[in-house]
Parts: sequence; C-alpha cells; structure tokens
Amino acid sequence: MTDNNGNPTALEDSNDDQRSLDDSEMTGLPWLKTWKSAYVFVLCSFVLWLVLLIALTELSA
Amino acid sequence: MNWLDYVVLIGTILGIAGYGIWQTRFRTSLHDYLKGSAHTPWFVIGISVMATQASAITFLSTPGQGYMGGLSFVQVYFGVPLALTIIAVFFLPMFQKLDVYTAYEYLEKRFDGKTRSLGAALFLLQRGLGAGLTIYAPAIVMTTVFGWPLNATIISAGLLVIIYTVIGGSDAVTVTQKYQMTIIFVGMMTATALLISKLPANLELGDTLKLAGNFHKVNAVDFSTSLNQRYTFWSGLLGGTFLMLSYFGTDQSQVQRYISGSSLRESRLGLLFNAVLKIPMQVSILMLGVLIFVFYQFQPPPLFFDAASRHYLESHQSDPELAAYVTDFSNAQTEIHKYLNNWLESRHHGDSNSANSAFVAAALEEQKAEQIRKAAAKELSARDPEAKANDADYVFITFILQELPHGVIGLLVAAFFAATFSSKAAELNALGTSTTIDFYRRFIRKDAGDAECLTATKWFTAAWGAIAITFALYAHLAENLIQAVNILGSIFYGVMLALFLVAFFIRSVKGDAIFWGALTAQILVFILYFTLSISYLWYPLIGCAACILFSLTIQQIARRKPELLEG
Repeated sequence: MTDNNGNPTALEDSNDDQRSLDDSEMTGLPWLKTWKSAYVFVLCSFVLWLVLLIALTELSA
Repeated sequence: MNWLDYVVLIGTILGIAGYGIWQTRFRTSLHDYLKGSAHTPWFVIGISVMATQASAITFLSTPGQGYMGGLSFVQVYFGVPLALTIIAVFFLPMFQKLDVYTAYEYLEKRFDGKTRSLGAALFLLQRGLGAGLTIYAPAIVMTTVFGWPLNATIISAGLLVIIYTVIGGSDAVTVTQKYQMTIIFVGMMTATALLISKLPANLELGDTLKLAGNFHKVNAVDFSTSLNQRYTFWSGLLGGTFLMLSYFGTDQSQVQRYISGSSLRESRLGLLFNAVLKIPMQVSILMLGVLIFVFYQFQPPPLFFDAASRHYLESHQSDPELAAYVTDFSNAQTEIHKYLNNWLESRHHGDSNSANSAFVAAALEEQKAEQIRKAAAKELSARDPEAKANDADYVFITFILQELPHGVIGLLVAAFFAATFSSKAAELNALGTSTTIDFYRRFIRKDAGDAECLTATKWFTAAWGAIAITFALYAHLAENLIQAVNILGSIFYGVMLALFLVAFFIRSVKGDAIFWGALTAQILVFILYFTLSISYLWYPLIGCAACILFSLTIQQIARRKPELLEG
C-alpha cells in the first residue's frame, strides 16, 4: 500500500504527484534516513512502552 | 495565591499573548493567515499538534485520574502511534498535494459538494459544542479554588485568546503554542520534582511502586475483553485507534496545525514526533497523580478534594453530623499512616509476614476511609442537590495550593491557562477557517476575493470565540471534564473518519452513497449512545464501520436501481 518512501499508492493517479513533493523522499534525520525506518521506529517505540507498562503492572501487583 | 504568584501568572500569559500578537501583526495574505508563513519546522509542528490536543483539562484532570484510577487511563492513548502513522502515510500527502485549507475540501474533490458540507458541518457542530468546555473546565476549577468570579474569568480568558487568534491567525497559534508548551513542561516538571522531594525520606522507588501497586494504582494494562470496562488494552488499541485517527485525521483544529509545515517532510516528522512522545507524556502526567496518592498515604488528605464540597464543610463546621464524618475520616487516615509506616519498616527489615499484615490492616483502614468519604458525599448531595463531589478534577490543584511554594503556584496556574489558550486558539482558528472556506466562500459570497475572505475569517473566528464563551457561561459540570470532551468527540468522529477512509480506499463508492450512508450511521450512533452502556471509546469504531457498511450497501443498491438515488 506504500511505495519505497512510505508514500501511499492507494490512489492510482497520485503517484506522479507524490514524486513532485521534492523533499518527501528522505526524512533528513541522521539515524532514520527512510520513511519506512521512521515508521518502524514509531511502532517499535510503542511496543517498548507497552512492554514496560505491562512489566510495571505485573511487578507492582 | 500571593502577589508573587499573580505577577508570574499575569506576566506569563500576557507576555506570551503579546509576543504572539507582535510577531504576527502584519498577516495580510489569506494563505499565510490560514496556513502560516510556511517556514514552520517539524519540531514546532510537533509541539503545536501536542499543544492543540493537550488542553488545561489534560493537566488539571489527568493527575486526578491517576490518583483515583491509577495508570489505566493511559490505555486511551494506545491508538495514537498507529493512528498518527496512518495519517502520516495516507492522509497527509493527499492534503499537501491538493494544497487544501481544510480537510473537507478534499471530500468535494473526491465525492461532491454536499459530502464536503456534511463533513465540515459535523466538525463545526462537535468542535463548536466542545469549544465551550475548553474554557469552562479550567475556569470552574480555578474559580472554585481561588474564589474568583466565574463569569469574569471565562470572559477575560476567552477575550484574550480571541484577540491574538483573530490578529495573527494560524501563525499566532503556532508561535504562542511553542512558549505555552514550554511553560507547561517547566511547571509540570517542577511540580513532580517538588512532590518527590516531599515523599518520606525512607520511601525508596521500589517501595513507592509497590505501595501504589498494592492499592491498584499501577494497573497500566488490562487485557479484559469486557465491553463495559471503560479502559482496556483492546478498547484503547482498537477503539482508541479509531478515535485518534478521527481526531488527528479529520478534525480541522489538528489538520490545520500539521498542514502548516513548510513541506511534507516537516509535517510528517511533526506527526511522528507526537506518535513517539504521546504515551510517555500521558504516563508521566498520570504517574504524577499516582505519586500524589502515595504522598497522601503519609500526610492527611482532605475528606474532599472538590473545592465546593470543602467550602461547604468549612462553613458547616458546627454541624455535629458533618463534624463526625471529618473526625472519623481523620482517625482512619491516622491509622493508615501508622500501618503503612509499619509496612515500610518491616519491608526494609525483610520481614515479609509482618509487612503483609501491616499492609492488609492499612488496606482495611483505606476501605473504611473510602466508605466514610462516600457516606459524607451522599449526605452533602442530600442536603444540596447541586453539590456533586467531583474530586478527580481538584486533586492536583489542591496539592499545588497546599504543598507547593509561592511562585511555583503562580507558574502552575499560568501553565493551566497556557494549556487553555493553546487548545482554544487552535480550535477558534480552525472553526473560523472552516466556516469561511467551506461555507462562506461557497454559499454566501461565491465571488469573494482573498482580502474579503481574510476579513470574514477574522469575524468568524471572533464569532466562534463569542459562542464558546457563551457556552462556557452556561455549561454544567459533567461526570469528569476530560471524559465529557472525549465522549462528545466520540459520537461524531466515527462518521467523519469513515468519510475520509472511504474517500481514500474505496474507490467504488460515490458521493450520494457516502452522504446518505454517513447520515444514517450518525443517527444510529446517537440511538446507540442513548440506549447502550458501553465504553465511549467504541463509538468511533461503530460509527465508522456503520458508515462504511451503509455507503457500500447504498452504492450496491444504486448500481442495480440508479433511479433511487437520482430520484
């Protein structure tokens, strides 16, 4: 559903226009260069928080 | 509050508002006024999105939620990372590509004019109604505690935010939000540091967590599948994702914040910034409430945190029945302190049997104290039907006033007002923008130029501000203020989200089908809300699913019998 840069391809006619968004291809961040890696980082941070909160719940019970 | 607090409070709120006005006083282009000057970096967009969602209710009421119910409220935010990632991937590029002022413009490009009007009308209805609560909620707490006149507080706070939002538009909102969030973070961190310094010296981190856990305050994740349980992992992840997707993806007050980025990259990073930080931020605020709970296990808490109930007790001290409640509650608290000190001592000596017995005794006294509090609340309600002990909203402010030094009190009250202004300004900016772009320019003055639309937006922003003040002046206290705002949003958000999901992903559905499907789904949500007793977090999901299902069905029928929709 997304291209290599994490842009949507849900609408067939939008791909060309997406490319015209010049600086959307790279995040510009030093450690997370592609959008896919940025999204994975977000989801991993959520999982990490979830695990910590579950551990906190269990340890304090 | 003394003179120092008032200097800090007034200096902070007027200073930020004045700076916002000064920085944005020459906005003469409609584009700049509505979308900002397009130089906003991702970090500022991230702060702006965060500030728009985090109203004063968040900082006043959430610690109270932590005090009363522990960390479980954080589950509401489990949907944020997924929702913001979906918006960053699918919604944002479309808004940027079409260079829209409002999210609802996209609906016209995809469907038709009436669907755009429906989306914008749903937004104006729910946000316009909620706008009053954003001012009322902190005002009622502050005025009850400080004895300020309620109406004057609502009107003066409302007027200040109207003035700088009308003058500077979108940029004024963003510029002021940056400094308002700074004040909020500094205030909250100072309060947390001072609270930790006031806990007993021999209470270690492990003891604190164990104590809070024993009283069920660290129950952050609940995997229960009960639909009647308000906060669970499932309602947070499924219902919460739909609620947050609806709020961040279709609510103009949020859309206007992140489409003001100088590029898709800046806007996207601003959203992902929130996707990462929202849960830890909410955990921190709830944990503050949990720590206040622990603090009051070693210090005498008031029978009621609710200021109105406390004032009633103070003015009826000679009443023997009420005095008995106060004395019994105080005695129970003394016993709790004694048993918990024993628990702490036994725990440090490694005597787990004695520690367990001491804690069981403390827990029994805690139950007794809670029964006394409930009986006293019932007695108060019987005497005065208007009295409704709503402690959650008053826990944090009571702690601030009773335990923190002057200057810090002023800083925290300034932080609450800063939070009020930051979310209120974004709401007014969005309401004014949507009214002009989605209605005025389409139905009232079709040939209006940019200059006329700019003037109209300023007038509409001021008018929505006046409506919000009026609602706030006549608002009544809900069960809990933050929940009232969320419940109101959850009724409308599902259908609003479905309009966009169908637009993005179901190409076969056309304008008529989505319009009638959305109307039918909205009516269904209203009926269910008044007949079922399920958690409000489920309504966005129900509304969204119903709208998608209805629109698909209507589209199928229309394909077989086209005259039905044409007629």
